Order: sequence, then structure tokens, then C-alpha cells
Amino acid sequence: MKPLLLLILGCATLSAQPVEGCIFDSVTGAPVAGAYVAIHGATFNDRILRRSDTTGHFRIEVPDAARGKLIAVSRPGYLIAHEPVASLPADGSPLRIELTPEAVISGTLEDEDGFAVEAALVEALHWENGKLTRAGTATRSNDLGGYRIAELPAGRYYLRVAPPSGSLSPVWDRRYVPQFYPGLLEANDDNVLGIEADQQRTLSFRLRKYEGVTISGQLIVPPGAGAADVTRFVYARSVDVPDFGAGPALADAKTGHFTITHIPPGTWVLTSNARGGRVVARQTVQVGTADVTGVVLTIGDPANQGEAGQH
Amino acid sequence: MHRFSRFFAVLLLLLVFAVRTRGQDQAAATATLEGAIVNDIDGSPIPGARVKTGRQFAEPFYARTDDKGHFVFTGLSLGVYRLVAEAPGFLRNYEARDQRSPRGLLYLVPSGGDAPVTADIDGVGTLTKSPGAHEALHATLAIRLTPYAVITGKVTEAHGVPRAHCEVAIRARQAGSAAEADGLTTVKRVFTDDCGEYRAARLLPGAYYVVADKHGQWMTTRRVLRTTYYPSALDAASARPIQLAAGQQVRADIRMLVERGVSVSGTIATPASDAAAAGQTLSTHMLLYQPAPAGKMPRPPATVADFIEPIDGRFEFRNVMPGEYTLMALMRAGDDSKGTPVSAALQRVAVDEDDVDGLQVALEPVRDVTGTVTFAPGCAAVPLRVTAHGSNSLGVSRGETIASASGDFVLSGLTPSRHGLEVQAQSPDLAYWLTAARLGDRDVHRDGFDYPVPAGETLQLTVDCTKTGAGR
Repeated sequence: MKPLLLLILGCATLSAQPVEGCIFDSVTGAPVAGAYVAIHGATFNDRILRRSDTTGHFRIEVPDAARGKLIAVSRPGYLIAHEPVASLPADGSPLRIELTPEAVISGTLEDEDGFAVEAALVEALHWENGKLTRAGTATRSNDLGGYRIAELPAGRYYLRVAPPSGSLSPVWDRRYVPQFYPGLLEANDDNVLGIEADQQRTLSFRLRKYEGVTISGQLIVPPGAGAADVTRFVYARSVDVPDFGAGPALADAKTGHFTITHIPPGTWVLTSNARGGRVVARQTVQVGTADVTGVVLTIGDPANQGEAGQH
Repeated sequence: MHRFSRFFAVLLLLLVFAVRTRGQDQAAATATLEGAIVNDIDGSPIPGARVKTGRQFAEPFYARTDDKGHFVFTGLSLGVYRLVAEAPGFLRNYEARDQRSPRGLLYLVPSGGDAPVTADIDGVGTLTKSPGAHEALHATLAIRLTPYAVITGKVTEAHGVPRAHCEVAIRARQAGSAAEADGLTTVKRVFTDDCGEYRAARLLPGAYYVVADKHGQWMTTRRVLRTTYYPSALDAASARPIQLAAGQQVRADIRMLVERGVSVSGTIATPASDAAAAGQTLSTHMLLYQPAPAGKMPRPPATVADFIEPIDGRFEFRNVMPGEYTLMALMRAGDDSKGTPVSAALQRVAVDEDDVDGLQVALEPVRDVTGTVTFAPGCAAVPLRVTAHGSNSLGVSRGETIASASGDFVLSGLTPSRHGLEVQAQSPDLAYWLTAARLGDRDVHRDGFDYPVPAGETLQLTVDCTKTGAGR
């Protein structure tokens, strides 16, 4: 309190009037204790910040300069409002603010051997503007295969699990491709999960192995393209699933032929890099249920930004 | 990755050489690899463990251990294999020594004559039997796995409110690692979930410090929370390390420490300016800034005490911890961080246990920094590119200019920050570097200089160069 008093006494043109209010749980109607209440826009970040008491009540003395600014409230266990929830009333009348309790999906993941799937990216996705979009927190499973997605609003979700790939953690078997609960490659009406506010849902499941398809093709190094710098590694990276990739494959030194196995359906980007990591060839490939052959990656060719492969 | 591929390239060459010198029949030779997986602590077999082996870029082979911990692979072609063994609750074979450099290589490569198959799987597995040169290769391995330790716990703030999405660092004293200032190395980072719970697994036996970071969710009392060591300490010296035996699981709950600091307040005076006269919107931001300690390389990030907008000419920083600070203020045209700097101020503030009130900050129009470059004997005086760059919450500051042939330069467009200095010849064939930098009577070579600079002070830079043909 002391600093604020100083601020008020130190400047005759400022006065302060308390803003009061109560915070309630929108589902149970119970008061919410320990919520942060911040005056947003009065100053940067959290300059005026209080917590609600055990009855959900808060009181903030606000300088006149902050009148009409917005108020933001948060509390673990409740959805974070990324937009301020209310305007400060100019007349000092008490505010009633409701917080919506979060829904949580948690569980454990195992593979066909019964081993925990560790470091998998687990996400709750929903359709938004025609795209599958993440809601709530993203989480990586722990050493017991345990995961927990919090801060979920009520909605209809698909749970997607992407086992680790690349350098993040050793890949046990690349046939455990990204999949939706309860082990499907596609998000559809059969596996949608209806989640309500405040719901705690436990979903444990066993990942299934998918053979996927094989992408094969040729890495072409044109004369004068700096062949000494070419690594001949070909990487595949999923456009649909964050941080998910396959490879590298090593293109044959003579023929340039390469093969990458166990690729699930979706959009993939194939790249090859020079020593030092610079990408020198890139090709987008649509993968369906049939093997993709004849992909041509030409180093240094600007036309290589286009699409190739079979749909 | 690079070292790894080079390493592989050498070994693959070896293989080609071996096959070529050993004739047609050996090219088709295959190997059988069998072994046992045991608990490194008591030597007991681990049934149901799984083993994978494969050559780079090829499909791996998989196996499980039987009731006696035994596994077998048959029909392996000759080559360099990586072997991974894992079982629930155990470190993988390559994790046991050094978690940052995966190994586990196995060389099924006849190196000519009757030389044995060689194996090195991180010193954890040992090859015990080797074949004659003209029969199918048959190798037996013993692989010892170490049970890993786990630290779990809950991080809370005042009132028992869980600290959600907060970084928890597991730190240890490690010989040969790049330690931070307190002699500790972070071996693992995890995050608390929405309930404040964390779990750090796959730890080797040893002594660990657990540290909950003060940064976290976007809206918290972050100014008040302190980075806290388990169980409740501000630094490693007063913290209690957790002793972990192999396979042990320990709970370590952390209550975040709170320190309130004092208030630093005052008034800020704005000069009349053309921009204000023209009716432009002006916005002012202030920063109480503590540069990183001198002489630490790489330099840890500067401590920012706060970042505020003054209201009606009054400003106040709260929860400031004792220390020497630099107060920086910047007024821009426009109301975002991209506006043109109009005026700025820089002032030293010493904070101890009491509130500081009545500070008077006077913004002055932004001005250029002038300076001179002096060349070391034997270096041609060429036009040099002089760059000053700094960044903090007020934004990124960068000034660049070409010094005249006489060495004079003017840096424009800087904003309040601590700035580092660089010089560069315009021709790539010439190498020039800074050997000394002074501003007024202060040495600013190593730690940079603060902008705005006091009126009348200039930068004095001394540069050296590569002297061609002189003793090199």
C-alpha cells in the first residue's frame, strides 16, 4: 500500500477512488479466492495488481489517470482471459466478474510393447476456420507416458499424439506416427471428444504402429552447385504436426537416389542442406496411402519450391 | 552431428576396405549378436527389456529379453551398428555416463586377417566373445542398465496458490561442464503443470539443487517472486541439495520466496519539442536497469527492475531490490515502440533499504555521439565502419557509421541502452579490431557504454590490424 499512497500524496492533481468487486466461478457460483486482478493499460504489465481474498472480494485504489482502463483477472484452474474482462466503472460501483473453470484431459500413453511413450507432444485440437487448431496447453508426456492438457475451454476436441522424432529424444520405432485418440490417423466424427467446462477427463491409450508409405526420389547436384558442400542428407518434415519429421536419408553418391520410409499421410516438406545447415533444396510432397516415387530435389533450383508427388 | 557423420564416413570406408580385401565370400558374411541385459546395481537380469540395433539410414532390428534377460539378433550384415537398450525405470545404455552425447556404437567390422569383431557400447556393454575370421561372426554382449532417479514436487506461491507453467531447473556440480557463476550446471529443465506439479526423471545418482524460476505465466506477481532454491533459499549456498541414489524417487516441494524491495519514484520533465508543438502523440517509457556484472563471458542478461509508463509526469518503480541501477527514459513520437526517438534521459540511482522519492528526471533531445578512431602503429588509416548496438525493454538500439579518413565519426539514432562497440574494415581483405575504447575518462571497451552520454564526452577508439608479412 505504501508506494501507492506515496504516489497519491506526492501529486496533488491525482486522486484515488477504490474499485471493488467480487469474483465467482461461472459453473458453481462459488467465490474464487486468490485470483489476480490487474488494471490493464493503466501502465505497462502488472503495475496495479491485487489478489482476491477468501470471499472472492478485491479492492484496488486506482488513480484517476487509470479511470476507464480495463481490468483483467486470472487464477490457476480457470481459463485465462486473453482479453480484459471488464472496464473500470467510472462511478465506483462494484464489479461482478465470472471466471470459467478449465477442463482437463489427462492420461497415460503406451506403445504396443506396453512401454511408456515418453516425450510425445499431446495436443487437443479443434476445427477453427477450417483448420485443426490447438486449444489449451500443449504438453509432452513424461517418462511414465503421463500427459496433462489443461486450460481447455468447453468444446469438441480431437486428441493428437506425436511421438518424439529427430534429436529431441530417441525414436524407438518410426512406425508410431502421429495419431488421434484412440489410435486413428484421421480426425473425424468417430473420435471427437465432447468436453464440458470444469470436466476432468482421463484418456489413456495404446499407440498403434502404422507402416506409412515410402517416399523415394533423386537428389540432383547440378555441375557448379558446390558439390563439395552438399551433405546428401534428405530430411522430411511434417507440415501438419509441429516438430515432427523423418530421416535423414543419405542420397546415393552416384545416382542421387534416396528413400525415406514410414511416412504417414499429410503434407511433407523434403529438404537437403549444405554443410553448415543451409537448406539448398526443398520440395513439398502430398502423401496419401500410396508410395510416392520420383521426387526430384535439385540443389539450388528455385523451381524446387513447388509441389510434387502423388495425391 | 558433423563430428558424428565424419566419424561414420571413416568407419564406412573401413568397411568397404575390409570387404574388398577379404574377397567375395566375406562380402556376404552375416553376424549373430546376442547378449544379456542386467541391472547395474545388483546384477539381476532384466526380463522384458527391449533392444534395438541398426545401421545408420537402415531399418533397425528389434528384440525383447526373455525371463533370463537374454536377447538375440541373427542375420545382421557387416557394418557399424548403434545399439539401444531400454527398460522401464532404467536409463538407456548410452545415457548412463553422459546424457548429452548419445553413443552406443557397435562395430561388426572385420578389420582384416583374424582380428576380432570390436565393440564399444559406451563402456556399459562389453563384447566377450569373438569369432574366427572365416566363420559367420558371432558376438556376445553384456549390457548393464542403471535405474534412474526421479525428483517430483509442487511449486506454490503465497496462499498455497500453485505456480503453473513455471520452469524448474535441476542443477548439479559437474566436473568439466560449463558451469554458471555459482558453480552449478543445469542438467535438466522441466515445467510445472497447471497444478504446479513437476516431474524430473532420468537422473543419474548424485546431488541436485532444484530451482523454481521467478518467470512464468503472463500475469503474476512476478516483480515480487524470487527465483527460489529448494527448499526455500535465494541461492545455492544456502540451499539444500537433494542426494539421489540410483532408482530413488524424492519429493521436493518449493514455496516461492517473496521479497518486496522498496519504491523508487519521482517526476519526469518533458522539454518542449517540435513534435509536441506539431501536435504529435508522444509516449514515454522508463526502465530501471542493472547491467550484467562486468567481466562475465558470456554475459548473463541484464537485470531489469521494471518497465513503466509515467502518469501525469509522475513515475514510480516498485519492489526494487537494493543495488546500483541506471534509470533510462525514452520519449518517442507515436504510441508504440517503433516511433522515432524524440528525447531521452539516463541517470544513476543507488537503492538501499529505504524508499527513494523525489528523483527528478529531465528528458533532453536525443543527440549524436561523436568520437575518434586512432590506429595502432603500422596500420593504414582506412575508413572503418563503426557500429554500436544495444537492446533492452525499451527496444533495440543500433547506430552505424563510416569513420572519415581522419578517424572522426558520428553515431546517430541511438536509444537508451548499454551499447557494445564494433569496428570493421569495409574491405573484406583487411582485418581491424578494437583494442581500447574510452568514453570521457571511463574504459568502455569490455562492458560497453550507456546512451545517452553526458554532454561533451566523446568516444575514443583504438584499433589494431593484421599486419601482412610481419612475422605471420
